[in-house]
Amino acid sequence: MTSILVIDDEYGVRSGICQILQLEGYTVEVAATGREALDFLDKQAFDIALIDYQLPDLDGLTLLASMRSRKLATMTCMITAYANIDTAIAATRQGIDFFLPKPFSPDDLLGVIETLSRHKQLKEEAEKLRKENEASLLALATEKSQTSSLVASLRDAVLVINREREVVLANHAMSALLGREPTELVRAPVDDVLGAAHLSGLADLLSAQGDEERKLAELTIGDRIFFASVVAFHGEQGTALGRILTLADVTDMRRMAMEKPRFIRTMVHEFRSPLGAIRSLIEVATEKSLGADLAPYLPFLERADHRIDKMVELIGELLSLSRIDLERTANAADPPADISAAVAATMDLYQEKLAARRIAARLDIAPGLPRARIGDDDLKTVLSNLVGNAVKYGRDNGTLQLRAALRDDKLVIEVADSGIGIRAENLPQLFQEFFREKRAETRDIDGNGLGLAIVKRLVERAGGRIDVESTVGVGSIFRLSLCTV
Amino acid sequence: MAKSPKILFVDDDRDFLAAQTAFFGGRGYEVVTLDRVEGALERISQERPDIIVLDLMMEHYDSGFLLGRRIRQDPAMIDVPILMLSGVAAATGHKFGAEAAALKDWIKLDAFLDKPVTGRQLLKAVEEKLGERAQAAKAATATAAG
Repeated sequence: MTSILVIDDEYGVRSGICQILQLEGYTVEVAATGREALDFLDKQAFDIALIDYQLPDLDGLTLLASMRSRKLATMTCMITAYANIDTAIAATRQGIDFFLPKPFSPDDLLGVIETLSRHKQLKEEAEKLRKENEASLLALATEKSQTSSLVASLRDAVLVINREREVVLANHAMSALLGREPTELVRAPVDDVLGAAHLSGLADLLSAQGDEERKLAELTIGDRIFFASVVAFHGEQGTALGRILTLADVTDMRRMAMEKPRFIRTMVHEFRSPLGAIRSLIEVATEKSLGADLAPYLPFLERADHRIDKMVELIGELLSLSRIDLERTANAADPPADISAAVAATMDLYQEKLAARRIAARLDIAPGLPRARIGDDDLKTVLSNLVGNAVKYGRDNGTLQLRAALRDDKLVIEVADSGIGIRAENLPQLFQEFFREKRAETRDIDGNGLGLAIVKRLVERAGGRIDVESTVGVGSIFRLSLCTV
Repeated sequence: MAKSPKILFVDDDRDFLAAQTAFFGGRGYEVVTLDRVEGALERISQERPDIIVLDLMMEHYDSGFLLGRRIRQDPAMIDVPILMLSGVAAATGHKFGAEAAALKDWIKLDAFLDKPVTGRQLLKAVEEKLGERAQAAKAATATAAG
């Protein structure tokens, strides 16, 4: 229902207009002054306001200006007996929608009202459409920005080309892979972008000839292996609009897949060698190679027994390794390690062996060290492996130094020996499972090559690191760097 | 056999060597063992064994092959049977088998045996090779005489 406010200081005029309009079913309010009119307008919304040019408190133009400053949606019509061109121009400047000179007939009035209501309706519809449009544009912009953030954040490299074989989208992973800025890539011809020799695999995948819906391939770029997929995308009518290339880096997966058979192969060798020895040792007895007397066989059987012990030890360490791999992160419930206590416990364990080889142990543990962020048992395992190695690969009458201190917020523990040392070319493999340096000096030293692999995993899963420095014939220094609690 | 045959082992596992010394010794062989590749070539040309048993993996994964190759380069050792022992051949499947065949040919290896080998298997292979060699020698003598 159209609501109208009639503003006129003449009682006869405003009640006349009011009656005519009410008879037509309009909702009408009347105001005798500009002030009164503004009070009404502040309280409720009117579709149309009929404004007398001459009001006792303020003139029609000032009222119009006030209404404009209130940003009202009300349509306005000026009614005046003193209509002249100047008034009309001034009123139009203030945004008047219609001008009705007095005197006017009821039909004139109703015609104007009808026109204004229609204008009002049209204006409202236009506004509604504008708002809807704005909302959908906003939604579109939001969706676009969501999509591009999504694509940008993908770890997989994404490249989209259009029918003209130009790049329309490339995310960060792709631009890093291609060694170009994302902005540089957009609108560049894809054949130029993939022109370099090392990218020929990608160029083949996106070649103009291929129009399959989907292509999959595994390819190598530099030293990385990628799983590539090309998918065609279509418009609503099913026309091909372009193609999307995604590249997933599968290098680590492949390396892991290759690592497993290598590990198993080495492990099999590590089992076959002692089994071969054990079998031959026993066979000496079963074949009675040394005659009917039992005594000569005992040393052979004792050696077989010793080799079985070593195999049991190996199985135990393999289980430790797999347990560490399964747990991945250190057990949070483990109490943080007290370094001086762990050092003392380890030294106790090796007291006899050190004495037997007359290796002089020197401890240099800084007082009041904070606790280390590694499980107490894990640190003991690490230290006993390192000290055990220092004894095994040390020399009679040599030295063993164990130092612990706080350096740049890290707990640094060093185990230094004066032993046979490690060849520089073997240092990179030193922490690999089963690696043992094969040298004349090491051949009589028992070991399965798992100790340092266990050490490295325990240290790294606690967020620490281990390094080694070594000089053949001089000795080795193993340096642990652990976080404090 | 008038003279006991001399068998020479090169293997880095001393328990294995000790056991073979007892086993083949008990069977009437003269056994020589070397526990390292270093200096092995010189010892072999001094010892002049009738048959050699090499372990493939000693210091390096192919130590046995390289040593075998070098033994063959000595004219005096050109037809001494060489048996190669390996702990990995069976585990690595046919790929290693193909490589091994090529290498076997390259060195003119006489047999390839997987560890853990039994002494009896080894003895059988050794007797076979020594038998073949005796036959060949006999034939050569007969040809020379004829």
